Amino acid sequence: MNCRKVMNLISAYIDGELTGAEMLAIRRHLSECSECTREYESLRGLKEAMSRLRTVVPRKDLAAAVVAKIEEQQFTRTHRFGTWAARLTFAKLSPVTAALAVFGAALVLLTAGGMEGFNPDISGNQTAFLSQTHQVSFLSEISLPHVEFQFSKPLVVTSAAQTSFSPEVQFASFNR
Amino acid sequence: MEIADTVAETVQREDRREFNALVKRYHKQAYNVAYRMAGNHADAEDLTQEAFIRAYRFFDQYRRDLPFENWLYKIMSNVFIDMLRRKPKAKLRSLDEPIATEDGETQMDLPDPSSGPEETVLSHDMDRRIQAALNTLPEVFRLTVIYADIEGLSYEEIAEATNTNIGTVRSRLHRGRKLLRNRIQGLASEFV
Repeated sequence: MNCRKVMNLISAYIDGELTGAEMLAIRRHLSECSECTREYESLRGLKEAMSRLRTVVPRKDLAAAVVAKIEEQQFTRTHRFGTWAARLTFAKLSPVTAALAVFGAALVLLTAGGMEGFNPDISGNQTAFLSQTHQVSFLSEISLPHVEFQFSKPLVVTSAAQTSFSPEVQFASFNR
Repeated sequence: MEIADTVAETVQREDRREFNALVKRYHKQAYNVAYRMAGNHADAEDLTQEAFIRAYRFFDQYRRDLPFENWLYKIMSNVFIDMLRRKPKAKLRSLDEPIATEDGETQMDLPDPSSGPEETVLSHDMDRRIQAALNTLPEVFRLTVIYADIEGLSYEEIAEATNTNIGTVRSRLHRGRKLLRNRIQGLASEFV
């Protein structure tokens, strides 16, 4: 092993973080090379001095202050999220489970959003109602005046003369 | 719902009790490391507090089969880097800045009780010079040297604490020590 390699590995040698073969090779090199030995002694001395630094002591009530701070933050967070379910979702579940929970919530919201236009009470203004409906193409072949279908809602049959619907017409049957 | 509430509260209470015991057990060790990172008592205290608060927030992710202090060091490293980014260098406090207490201002450093009077002065002086040099090191080198030489962590543990690999730790430690030695030049001859 040459000097350059030894110089690069000298810190790891001091820390005993090399393979057995590397440790032996460096030890052998150090026994023959004064320059590398000086570097070794210098860095080893630095490490020893660092390990002899005194332990710095905190103020006596630091642990109590830390605990109090955590209590304070916990109280704030509890109030922010409100329920145990929210805490469970955001603090106790794994990231994957939490992501699934958020995805599920989003799905429910989206599904509910799709029903926004649905109003079972259609006995009011027919024109307004018809403007929100879509004609189903295959039903145009049936000799009914108007067959209207709105998304997944009940099939509704209207006549040109009709201005309002009875509940039976809305949900159950065709009407000519 | 009431049962779920009770279970959640019980778990939380148990977590809190366990965590408070950990704070009590490790706060001095954490503070010592924080001081060596930050270089002054006020920042060390902020760093220690923030590290424990963050640790509590993610306590459910702590693997009980690993040493708590190693996990805390990982959090502390992140808090320290965040702190340096947030705080303008001009606002970093001086190493010698006195600390305000109920009895007025004082230096909180305590002499080593195991040393004699003469040694105390020499040790204190050496301590301050090393700390002053540490403060000038780039943060990743500083963290690596502190974990290796003050806390005695293995390269693998340092890699975990600083979110890097063993090769980088080896390189940072070697370069960090050489930088540190150069910054405390005169001191080197005293302890070789």
